[in-house]
Amino acid sequence: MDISSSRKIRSISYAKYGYLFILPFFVVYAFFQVYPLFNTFYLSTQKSTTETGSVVLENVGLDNFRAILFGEGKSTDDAGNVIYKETRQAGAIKKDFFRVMGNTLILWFGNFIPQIIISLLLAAWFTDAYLKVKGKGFFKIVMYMPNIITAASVAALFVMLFSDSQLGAINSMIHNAGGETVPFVSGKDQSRVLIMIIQTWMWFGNTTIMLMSGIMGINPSLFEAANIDGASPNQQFFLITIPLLKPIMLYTMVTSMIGGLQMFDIPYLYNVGTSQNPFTETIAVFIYNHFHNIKPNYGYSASSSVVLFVITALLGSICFAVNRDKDNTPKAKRGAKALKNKLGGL
Amino acid sequence: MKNLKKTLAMISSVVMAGSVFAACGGSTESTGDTTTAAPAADATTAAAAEGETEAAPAETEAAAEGGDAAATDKLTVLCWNTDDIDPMLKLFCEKTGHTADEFNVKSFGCGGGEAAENYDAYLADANNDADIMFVEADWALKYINDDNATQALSNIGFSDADYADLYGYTIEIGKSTSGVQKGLSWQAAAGGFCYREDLADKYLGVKTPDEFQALVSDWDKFMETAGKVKEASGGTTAMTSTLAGVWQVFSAARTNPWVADNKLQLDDECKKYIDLAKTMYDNGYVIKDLAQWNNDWYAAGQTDSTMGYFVSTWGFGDAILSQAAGGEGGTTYGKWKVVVGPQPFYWGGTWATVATRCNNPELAKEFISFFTTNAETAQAYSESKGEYVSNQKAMEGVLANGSYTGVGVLGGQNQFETLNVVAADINMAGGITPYDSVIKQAFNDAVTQYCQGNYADVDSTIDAFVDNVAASLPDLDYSNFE
Repeated sequence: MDISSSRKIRSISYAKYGYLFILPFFVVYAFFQVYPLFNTFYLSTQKSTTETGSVVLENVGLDNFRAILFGEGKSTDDAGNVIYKETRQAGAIKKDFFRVMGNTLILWFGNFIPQIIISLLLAAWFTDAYLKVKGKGFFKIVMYMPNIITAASVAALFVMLFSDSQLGAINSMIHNAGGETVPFVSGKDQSRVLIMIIQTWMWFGNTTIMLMSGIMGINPSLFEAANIDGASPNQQFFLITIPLLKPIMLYTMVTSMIGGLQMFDIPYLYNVGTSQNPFTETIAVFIYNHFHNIKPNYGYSASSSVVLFVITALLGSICFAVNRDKDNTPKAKRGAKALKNKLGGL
Repeated sequence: MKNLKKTLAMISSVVMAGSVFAACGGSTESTGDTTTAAPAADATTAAAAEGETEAAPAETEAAAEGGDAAATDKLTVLCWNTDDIDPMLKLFCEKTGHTADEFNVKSFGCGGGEAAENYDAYLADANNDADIMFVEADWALKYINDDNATQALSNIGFSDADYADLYGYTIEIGKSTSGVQKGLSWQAAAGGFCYREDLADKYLGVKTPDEFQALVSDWDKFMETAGKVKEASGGTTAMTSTLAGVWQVFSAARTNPWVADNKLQLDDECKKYIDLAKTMYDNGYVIKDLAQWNNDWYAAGQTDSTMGYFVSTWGFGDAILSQAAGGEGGTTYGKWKVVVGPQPFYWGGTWATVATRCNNPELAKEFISFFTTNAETAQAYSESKGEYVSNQKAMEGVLANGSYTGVGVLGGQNQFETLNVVAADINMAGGITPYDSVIKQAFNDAVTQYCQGNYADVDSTIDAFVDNVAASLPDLDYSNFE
């Protein structure tokens, strides 16, 4: 009796400190993450009006979602019943919503694909035991550098270089050489391509380092064995490196996807004038613009955020599900073994 | 290899640490700016400003609290930059014997368009002091219609008789929708077309502003002249820098407000503008794809790529023209002249309103009346700053006095003589609505896209404009466009 009670007290006193130590994180997390998350769900059912100056909220249920997803707004029929039909306002916001979703996907694909190709190539070169690239550390730092520069500076730099008119740095060269100026910042394709390039340039170093650590985590004896068995570098790359890199690749893809869906800074800042370029306006910019307006629409912002949250959660869990399957049935390793067997049999 | 890595790690950490300091330098510099820019700022306000720039929540809070305790009996002025308040305070203190210590300038260091957001955040804390708030015409009604933000000028001792000398339109914009006078502007933001005298001589053979005015006295002539300039210069000189300036002229010429009976409407002037904008863009009468307020926009004034800018009274200094000329001693400084242009117009202007939480009504009244209703001091301000003020008597005084001879960038021409003609013709038939800033932007976005060839015709441009507005302002009625 005595022993058990004293034991109990001792264990409680230790746990208490443990909880105390981790408390700050949970407090901060609740305040800055959980509360805003739930508040977003709440705001997505509200409509904000500013007739008197300060923002007044009104509960509208799922009307915001009806508007942004289906273009249906509330109105009354001849008998005075509330009906939902396509209205100009809801139609316009729906069109905008799908436009910015499209922009987001285009910009994400356009920077993810070149980024992963370049990173994979560089990572393979830098980790190749026989290539012995000199100054690896230097290159790693140089490639990582663009990521250290704040996005605002990068965007400002590119806007200055690529200004649309004949007075911009690049355009003045084109103009002086007798060519027609190119709208790098406001043109549809030009601005998108430029943003893809900026994003790729900023993030390929990060991805390269991630993939390099992934490749270095592969047991070198596999490469050695394959080499002794006479596998060509291409075979090694496609049959050993790539399959064993899949978990890291998936991780990169998930983080890049989440980051890509929330892409904000460069598309928002790679812009001149007071209004947003409609061809590079991403979903995050759209949310921001409706929130920070002279006449804010908290409901549209919040409901778009919720849709974005659902999409991100869905895509994220798909990726993780795929990833987990791979872990449980190590096909990749079997692939490597199969290669080994095959080569060994020769 | 190890050493190389170490060295590189060292270099990169130094670079990173350096960038941290660079950032610090930047912010202290800007803090320094605010402090020097605001003579009123004592140690407490400087601390508040620093807290603001560094965005450290705890620090801001502490500083704001500290600032309030000391600032309760100071006159707190909310503004977005110190371009106006600095010269105003200087003259005010000089003439009235008040000291800068009695003022607390809360400048948010942003564009006029972003000011409202900062004001909202600032006013959300009931402990933050505010006495006078500067507002811009485009979003003035947001605050003027809000009794929790601003109060009637009659509360602090103004009466309607006081406004007799002011230009009518400056009074009108200061009224709430229900007709309560809540703001007064010290500027009559009349504008004109500023052109390069040397280029006009070279391409058009025009020597005097009067001759030039004859060539641009209406839009048909303006376009014709633009064509001549384009041709004579071999395609290198555009008549005006951007469409944005042209738009200000049409915007001021509107005779209907954007919204009437909660219905969106499009004034005929706006339709005319769509056509004219497209013609100007296609013919190269504006510099292709040049954005207003961009660095390149100013740089254009130092090259021969543009004949002129549309400039409002506040734009003769560094805001537009002087900067475009390269500043004092710049390439084209002194080579500019101003004419009325195709249509008289006003552009922008800042209104002073009294905050509801104003705890310093006497000084607030003294300050506002100093620059507006008091003709004598308003005249002094006009002469010292070179600004066309809202007080007609003051302007008559400036012109009669003759001691003011115009800004340097005009090389001896007095812009007031031109603006005086313009100001007399300004009316506010268009009226303002609380939605103006959103709608104007939506309209300009649509026109820009049309010019760049993304919409096929005028109808689809108008359609896109209505969609732009409808997405932002769902509570308006769009039946006019169905």
